[in-house]
Amino acid sequence: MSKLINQPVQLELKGSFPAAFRFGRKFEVKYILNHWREGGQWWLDEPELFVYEVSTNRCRCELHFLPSLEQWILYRIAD
Amino acid sequence: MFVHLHVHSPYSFLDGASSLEALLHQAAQWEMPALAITDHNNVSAAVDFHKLALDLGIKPIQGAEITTEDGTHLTLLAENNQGYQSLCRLITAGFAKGDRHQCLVPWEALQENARGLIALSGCHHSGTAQAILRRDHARAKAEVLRLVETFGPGQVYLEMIQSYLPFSKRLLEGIHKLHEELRVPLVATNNVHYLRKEDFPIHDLLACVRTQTRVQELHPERPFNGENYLASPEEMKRRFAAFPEAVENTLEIAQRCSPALDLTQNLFPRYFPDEGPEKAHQFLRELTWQGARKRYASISAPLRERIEHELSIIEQLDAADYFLAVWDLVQYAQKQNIRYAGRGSAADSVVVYCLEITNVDAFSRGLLFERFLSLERAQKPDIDIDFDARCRDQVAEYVYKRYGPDQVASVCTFHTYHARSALRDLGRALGYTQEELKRLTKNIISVPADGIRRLLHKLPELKSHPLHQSKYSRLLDYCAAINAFPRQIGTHLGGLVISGDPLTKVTPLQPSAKGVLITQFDKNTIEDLGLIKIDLLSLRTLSAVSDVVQQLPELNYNQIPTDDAATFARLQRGDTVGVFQLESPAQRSLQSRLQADRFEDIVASVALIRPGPIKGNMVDPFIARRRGREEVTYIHPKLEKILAPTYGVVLYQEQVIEIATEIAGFTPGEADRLRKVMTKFRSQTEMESIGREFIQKALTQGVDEETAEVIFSYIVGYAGYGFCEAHAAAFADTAYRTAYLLEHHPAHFYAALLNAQPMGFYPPNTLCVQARGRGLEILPLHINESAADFTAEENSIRIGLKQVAGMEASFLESIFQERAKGKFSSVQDFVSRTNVSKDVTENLILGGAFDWFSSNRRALIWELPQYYQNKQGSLFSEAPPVKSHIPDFAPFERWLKEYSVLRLAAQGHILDFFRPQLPKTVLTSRAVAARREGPVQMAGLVIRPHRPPTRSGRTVVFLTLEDEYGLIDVTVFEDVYKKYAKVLYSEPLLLVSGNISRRDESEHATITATRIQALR
Repeated sequence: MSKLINQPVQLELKGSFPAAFRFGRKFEVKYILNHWREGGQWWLDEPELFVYEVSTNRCRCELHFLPSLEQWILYRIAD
Repeated sequence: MFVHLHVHSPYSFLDGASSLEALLHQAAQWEMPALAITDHNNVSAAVDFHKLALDLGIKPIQGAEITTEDGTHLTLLAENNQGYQSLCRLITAGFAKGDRHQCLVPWEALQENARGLIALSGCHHSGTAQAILRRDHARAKAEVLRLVETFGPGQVYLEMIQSYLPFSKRLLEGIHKLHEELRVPLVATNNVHYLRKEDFPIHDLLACVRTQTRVQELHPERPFNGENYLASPEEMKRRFAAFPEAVENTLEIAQRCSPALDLTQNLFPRYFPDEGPEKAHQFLRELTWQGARKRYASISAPLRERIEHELSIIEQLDAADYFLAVWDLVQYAQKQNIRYAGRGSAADSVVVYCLEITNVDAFSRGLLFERFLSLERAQKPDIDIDFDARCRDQVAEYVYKRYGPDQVASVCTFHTYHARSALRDLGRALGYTQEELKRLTKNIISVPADGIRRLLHKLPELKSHPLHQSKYSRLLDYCAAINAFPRQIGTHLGGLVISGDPLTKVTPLQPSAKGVLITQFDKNTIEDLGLIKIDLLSLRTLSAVSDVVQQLPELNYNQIPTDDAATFARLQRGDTVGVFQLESPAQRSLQSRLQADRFEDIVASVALIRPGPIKGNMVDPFIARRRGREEVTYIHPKLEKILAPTYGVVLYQEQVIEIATEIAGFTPGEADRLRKVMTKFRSQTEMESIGREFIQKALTQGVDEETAEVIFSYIVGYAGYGFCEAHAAAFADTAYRTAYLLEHHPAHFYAALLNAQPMGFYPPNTLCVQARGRGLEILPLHINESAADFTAEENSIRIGLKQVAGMEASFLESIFQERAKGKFSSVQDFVSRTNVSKDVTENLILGGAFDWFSSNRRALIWELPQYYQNKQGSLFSEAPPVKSHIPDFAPFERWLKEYSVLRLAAQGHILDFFRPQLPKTVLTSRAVAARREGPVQMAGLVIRPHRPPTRSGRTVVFLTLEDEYGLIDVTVFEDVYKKYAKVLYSEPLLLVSGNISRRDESEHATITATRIQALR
């Protein structure tokens, strides 16, 4: 089961990779399980999106990074 | 450093979104030592890529991303020419295995044609990647081993692509594992489909066009993200920081590869394959002299010298085999009674005339051979021949049989994006409805896809065009981005290449829609590969001529008198609708003004109505001098000899060459180079530089500077669109002969023209109006009397059954078979005895084919379903007659319906229905033609409004109005055009007010429009 969050979060980075973020409690990234980039619906001016599936000290999370806005979003949390 | 080894150009057909030039210039900017182009199953970019890359100091690596018979992709790079040849054979085998839309290269072919090729394991569509993604490691391993077995150790690399796709990580890990297990080296690529990340939408849009989806719809072949751009070497190193050898290996591969194309070879077959070239030279010599004795009453010393000069150049260029090949195929045409006519600059050759390839006596006309062939230019000869359109494929078939199917192919052509096609395709991909697309493309004429904005601001009729709205701004940007990109490959109308070796040595071959094999190079690049193109063109005019000749055994077409007074009188009246090359409004007007009374006038006419002479203001001086109203002067005595035949006006390309030779001392070859540069000139700077060279050389020849400058200005005025005299003379020959047929055999000639449609300037209905004007009766369609084609009798033309919309060969066969047994007695009888579909029978009724039985067409249509029902119910029982009491169509509706199914009306004209409502001030075309001057009003059907280039650069629209009595040409100057542009280009029937204009007191009256209204 997973829960849709879709909220901006402040991220600590290690190089250009996510290392930790706070969403109520602190989530520390242990592994990057997968990473891909999506073109987005460019015809609706939707920006490009970087997706990171990460394993944290608490659970698996899906983080989104919007390079055009330099914004990180906690998109989904899996149990 | 890094080298991109997997790059798609626009020749990946809707899967490459940046031009070759853009990709190469960026690579050059990064000082990339090499670049590979790997389009999907083709090497169409190879020649341009080779030339441009070398110009930019980049080593071109030829390659292709092929699709194997199991549907997987494989990236192949040619190490050398041998590898390139392997690639050509493989792609050919792939299309032979698949079909014209699908190349599926058999593995067996790969094993047989692996020499000189380096294989990269491929993208995520490769066999290896697919197995990894299925987590089938054993299969992945087997795939790699198969590649190693096929191409040999050291020839295979495992391709790593970091495109940041959801499965990229797994794929890269899998590839690395295979590398560690099998010790097959890695290589990094980026499967490049466009230059910059911001070009991704273009790539995505093209993918939507390719997959026929809209951007809002999903499709597995649409790109997921914008990562497949030409990443910089630094970025590629960053992406593959964990695999530095994968980056280094790109350089290793680049070093192993050499430019694979050989652009120096001559593949034209020897006429005598087992003999040296001397044998062909000797044979050509014999044939030429034999022909000369036939063509000329006596061989004078200058003629002998001319022929020897031509033969010597042909021999030095080793081109005798080409001439013999063309001679051979016209021999075939002659034996088969296939009408043909050589055209183009080949008509500058006396040898070609002696070989009976052309009908232009280049010696008597004093035509310049160097316009056709010269040692300095050392260009391959190019002979174009028009054939009766119906027999062109038969001649091509002969060529295939003569040289063998693997040594002959049709030249391909690339259908490229222009304004309308780009708007249509990209608009559809962006989700616009058909209706919206129709609005968006309305009145958008054929301009480059990056010229739409310019057009919107230029044409008055586009002033309120929807594309002005800001919401379409991005669409216009996208259209501009794909300008001139090839959309699909097709077959060139006439070009055939013949090779002494199998063609797959230089080009892959693939099937076309027509079924013939085509090359993957078009006419612009094919000759660089060592092939020579022969243009076997279809000319419907020759089909029409053949028809007339066949029906009139007493007519000797080849012996038509060249000074027939009645034919010239017709030309002088400008009454030339239907005459080859002389029927456009501009030509009709010219004929009347010029008062042509000799063949030379017709040659000049063909050359005069061209953008060059019109823009260079040559038409009026030419007419004035020809008619003796203006004195003929020459700025330099040397010009008199050259320009005397054209009254001091520079009219032909050959004259430019002669001027450069006589005035500036250029050699003929140098002069022709000058002509070529000038006809293709792009910039003022380039022209000025040529001008300096001309003037400098003229000064050394003793010509003063001022005179040299004026002479050069003559040439400049002419540059860009000049016409070759030989070509004009070849066309003029057919023009005069067709004018003769029109004058003396109008019924047969009009019928033949109607049978050869679509052709010429005017639609079939206009030809019928013209025929009626000549006193000929157009007999209606008749189910028991009409033949398949239009048929001519003494003073009438019967409409043929083929003219009916939807008519098929099988229907015609059935009709004639049954008619031979007995005439049809009713519609019911017709339905029961033939296989003609209900829709076509309905069209036959609407076209008047059954008026003989009942003139109530509406009632016949009403009864038709019953007849078909009866036919289905019982084939043998006679259905009871159906009683209908419904009135016929109203006359106007009846006429419109007939017109819609026949594209012409046997009787009457649409204006007949409007005439009673028109005020008396609206004149008929006859009345307008009779007026000498003054204001007039005329109503008519609009025919071909067009905007040719003008001397002033201002827009002038020319159109023809057709009414029930004939045609009147209308000129619409810019101020009037701006006011009425929308009506002009959207209404089929117009009411035009204006003033009569007669230039040079000619018989040809035109209306200069002052007001234009729609006639509804």
